[in-house]
Amino acid sequence: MFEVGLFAISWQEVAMLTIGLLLVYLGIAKRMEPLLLGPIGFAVILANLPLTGITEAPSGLLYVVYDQLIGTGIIPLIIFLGIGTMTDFSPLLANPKTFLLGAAAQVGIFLALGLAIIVGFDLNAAASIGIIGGADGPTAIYAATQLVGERPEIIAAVTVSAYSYMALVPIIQPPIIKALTTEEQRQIRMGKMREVSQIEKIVFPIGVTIIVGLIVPSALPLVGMLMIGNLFQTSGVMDRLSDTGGNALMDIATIMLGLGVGFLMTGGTFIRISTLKILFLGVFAFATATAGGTLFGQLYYKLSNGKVNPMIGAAGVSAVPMASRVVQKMGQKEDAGSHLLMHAMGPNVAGVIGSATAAGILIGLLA
Amino acid sequence: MSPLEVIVIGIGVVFLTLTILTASTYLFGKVINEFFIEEEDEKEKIAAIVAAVQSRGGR
Repeated sequence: MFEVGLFAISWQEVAMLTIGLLLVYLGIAKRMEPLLLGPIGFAVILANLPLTGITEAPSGLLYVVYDQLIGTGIIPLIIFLGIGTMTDFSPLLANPKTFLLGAAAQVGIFLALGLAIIVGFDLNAAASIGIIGGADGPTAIYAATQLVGERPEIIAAVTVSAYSYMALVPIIQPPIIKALTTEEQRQIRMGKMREVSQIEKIVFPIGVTIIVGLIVPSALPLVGMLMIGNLFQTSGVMDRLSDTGGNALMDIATIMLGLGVGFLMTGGTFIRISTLKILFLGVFAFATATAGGTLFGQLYYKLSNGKVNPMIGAAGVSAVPMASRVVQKMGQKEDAGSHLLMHAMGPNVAGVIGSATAAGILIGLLA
Repeated sequence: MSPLEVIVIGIGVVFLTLTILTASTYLFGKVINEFFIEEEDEKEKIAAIVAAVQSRGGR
């Protein structure tokens, strides 16, 4: 029987349509992660128009996209491959000790996990929420689908939180970095980095895959896809694969991700108190991750007799390259001749490996 | 498994893994630069000289 949707719409759906329009607006007018917020926002509109059947099992379009591509973890992993083709690990190879700054920033994940338990979430949900502190959208979605696959309300809130805070890096990080460093420290200039050879760049993704695979097997899907993408780029002989992985395939995966996340953001699953709690915990995770990296940067500052600018530790959260840009901008604000970008990129790309490793550990322990 | 155990194991294994990656990256970087790079540079230099000579019609 034919029914008019206008008379069947609920207030929750109206609220979600407003959120969908807001996301499209932020993406297009404010240029906040437009490639993501555009499709996600539009998919939210699709998912919340009543009587369309688009989110219903077994054949609704958004249901199929989510169930087959997001719920299985395939799309976040393909996006990781694309990220690998676009990531330059040279700054990390030139200064490998910055790996540990990438590790220190992951402390935020575990502190947020603890706080999530305190505010009433169970361990698996708390772990998914903690991963927001890794500041890495695909990792957050992948971990959430593996840890709380049957609870779309948690996955939706974690996804929105992770991507929102990634876009808000330039707002969230500076006050924390400023509070944990002195003006004198922020003015420290760092020298030129050494050149990294092609062989090192080729060996790196293979070595990391084997080492991480042997220590944290459950992190291998994420780290392995990141590294195969990187090998496409560094090898110099797989340009076509690198181009496809970083462009066409990445774009397809991003569109599918947007549609799948839209499926999760229906009125019934998204408008809950738990969503607000997760959004708050996400800020906490991200802030403590920034603080953890900066404090470890302070340790490097001490050990190097003041040669390392402690601000680079804040880039250990994996939001690449926004976190590095924040450090560069703050450094130049104190001293116009300071160039910290490449020094911050070391911990920044280490953070990508660190957050994927942390997610793998949590999946291995809890899934 | 208690939340505290998850937190302690999690932080511990993240640091362990990235410490091993730090050490391995140093080690491999040193070995590669010590034993492979010079040879590669020489080959590149010779190839560049040959290309330059050939571009001027030489053999």
